[in-house]
Amino acid sequence: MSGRGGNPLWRFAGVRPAAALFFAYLYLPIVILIVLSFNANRTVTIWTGLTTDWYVEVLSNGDILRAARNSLIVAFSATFIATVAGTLAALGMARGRFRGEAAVNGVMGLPLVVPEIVTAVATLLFFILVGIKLGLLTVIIGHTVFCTPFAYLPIRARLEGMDPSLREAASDLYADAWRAFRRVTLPLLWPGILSGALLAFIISLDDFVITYFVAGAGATTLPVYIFGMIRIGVTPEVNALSSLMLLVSILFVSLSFLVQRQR
Amino acid sequence: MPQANAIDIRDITKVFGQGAEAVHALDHVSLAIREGEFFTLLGPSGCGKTTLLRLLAGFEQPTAGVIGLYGDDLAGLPPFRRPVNTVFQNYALFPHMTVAGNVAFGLEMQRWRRGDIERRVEEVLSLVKLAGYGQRKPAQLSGGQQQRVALARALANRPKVLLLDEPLSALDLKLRKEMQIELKRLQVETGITFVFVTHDQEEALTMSDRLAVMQDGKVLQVGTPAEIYERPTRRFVADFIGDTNFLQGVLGRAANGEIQIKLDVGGMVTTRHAEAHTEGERVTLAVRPERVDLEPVNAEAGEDTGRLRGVVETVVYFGTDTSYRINIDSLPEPVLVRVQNRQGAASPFASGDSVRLRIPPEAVQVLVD
Ligand SMILES: Nc1ncnc2c1ncn2[C@@H]1O[C@H](COP(=O)(O)OP(=O)(O)O)[C@@H](O)[C@H]1O
Ligand SMILES: [Mg+2]
Repeated sequence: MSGRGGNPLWRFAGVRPAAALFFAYLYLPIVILIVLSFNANRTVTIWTGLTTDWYVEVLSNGDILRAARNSLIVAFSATFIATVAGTLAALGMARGRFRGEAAVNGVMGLPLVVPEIVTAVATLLFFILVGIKLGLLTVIIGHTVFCTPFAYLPIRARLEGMDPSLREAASDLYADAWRAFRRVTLPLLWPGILSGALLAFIISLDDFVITYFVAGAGATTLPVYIFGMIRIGVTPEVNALSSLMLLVSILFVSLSFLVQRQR
Repeated sequence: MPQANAIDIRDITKVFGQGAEAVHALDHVSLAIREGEFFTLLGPSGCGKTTLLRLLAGFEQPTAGVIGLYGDDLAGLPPFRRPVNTVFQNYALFPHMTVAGNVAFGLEMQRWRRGDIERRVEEVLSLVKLAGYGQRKPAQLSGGQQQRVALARALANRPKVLLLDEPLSALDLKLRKEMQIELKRLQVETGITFVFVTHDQEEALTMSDRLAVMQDGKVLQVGTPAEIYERPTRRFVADFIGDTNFLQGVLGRAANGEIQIKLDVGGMVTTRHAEAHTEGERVTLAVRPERVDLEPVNAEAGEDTGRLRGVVETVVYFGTDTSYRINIDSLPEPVLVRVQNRQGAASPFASGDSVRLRIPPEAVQVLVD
């Protein structure tokens, strides 16, 4: 098909099937998971009919609700700390060049590239050495570490795209540093801060490896709980719970996207 | 008009960077800008105009020298404590505020009362002919309207001095002409001292009470538009503003208030001003094309003082005047001559004609370098 000004790649044979195959590869498992979460039959491979029973069961399971509560406490705390730290870091980095700026920039992004398992082992080792008892607090601290760069990057990008003459204009119009920040910089930075926070929130919500290492008794989060359930077998409850988490993630990603698009 | 100095710039130097990478953006600049005048900084891109304006606003600190505002030393005073306001080249309107919010910003920061702010915003918006636009966002306005908002936002504070950095350069030609008139009107109406930056010589000549011509971080000449145009002291100034012919010669002796100059191309001209020079000195002369007259060559006339022989190379008709390029033996570039057109008369000279150029003493400007 040669659509009006369409993508020239369509000319090549096989581009369409390849694209379709790729998307199937990405999303088919997830679609199957969601479909099976509505399967009335307890055996995964046998379809008998539609039901929402599994969702009812998940939402009335005390352990699951406790894990969900832990997940939310961790995600909100880590997001808050990471966003404040990320905002301050971005503001500091934008103040101007300094010696070792490149190094600091690199270190800021390091948690994104260090293998998570290494961070997990190191964090665990650190807590043991320092002598902090594993629990919800250690999970929050661990999450803050890898959430901060995710919060930092969109804020930094937003700040970088901001016209520096706006701050000068505020200063020219009798605003001291604090009022220029509150009336001009912060309102313009807000979408960046919000999308950074949303990103940090989802990343924290679905983290497994680090949480698994540093969560003590009673600090089980949803991903860790699901992992525990899976060891017994893939049950419809697991499917339902996973689908719910997917829903929350999609919600937050869409929100982040919408916020970022808005000026 | 009172002739107090609004701004005194004394021996300002501004260096960016250090060592081998140091840039001397301003090099021992001194200027006095009078109260209530429309003062223009004119010069090519990179000559230091913006830097000078930023020093006045307080965004940069001078490396050396003193800036006085009505006698007060501005050293160390941050921008928000200086009673001057800036119209930025890109307008720098706050995108998240309405037009009224933008205009009110400076007043709010100075803690005006609400009612007073509202009244002042109305007043200033109608001054720039934007009454009724208060609730729009800057993004909903055209470039020319945004420009007016930027002006209103600065003027609302009744600054002692308004700084304008190439405010019209982003506008198309028609709008630019309109805004030139508009700016001049606002300056006269408000009586505020304007320091205006441009690289457009025509804009500078038509708008300014006085202007400073800058090059490479230095001020070359300060004066009224007529002084700068008629009596340029530097080759750069004469060349940058309008068209100019340059001739070389040796200064002769003075007689009857006129000084003779023996031209390298042969022939003599006289001038009335050569105060900075001595007899026998080699000098460069600037001669404006429209100050030269063309005469037909008659057989009896010789090569007397103030007259040069040449051959017309090209003739270009411009409506109000006709422009000639005239070749003179041994001069590498043709001389430009512009003659006002008389009603109904065609050009008396054609390409290839022999002519005489008459250069009167008033037309000859001896340059310093
Ligand atoms: N912040 C800066 N750092 C380094 N060099 C600068 C800076 N600002 C201006 N310059 C240099 O100073 C010179 C004058 O610049 P500027 O004042 O912007 O000129 P203009 O406004 O006349 O075009 C230029 O060579 C420019 O590169
Ligand atoms: Mg400039």
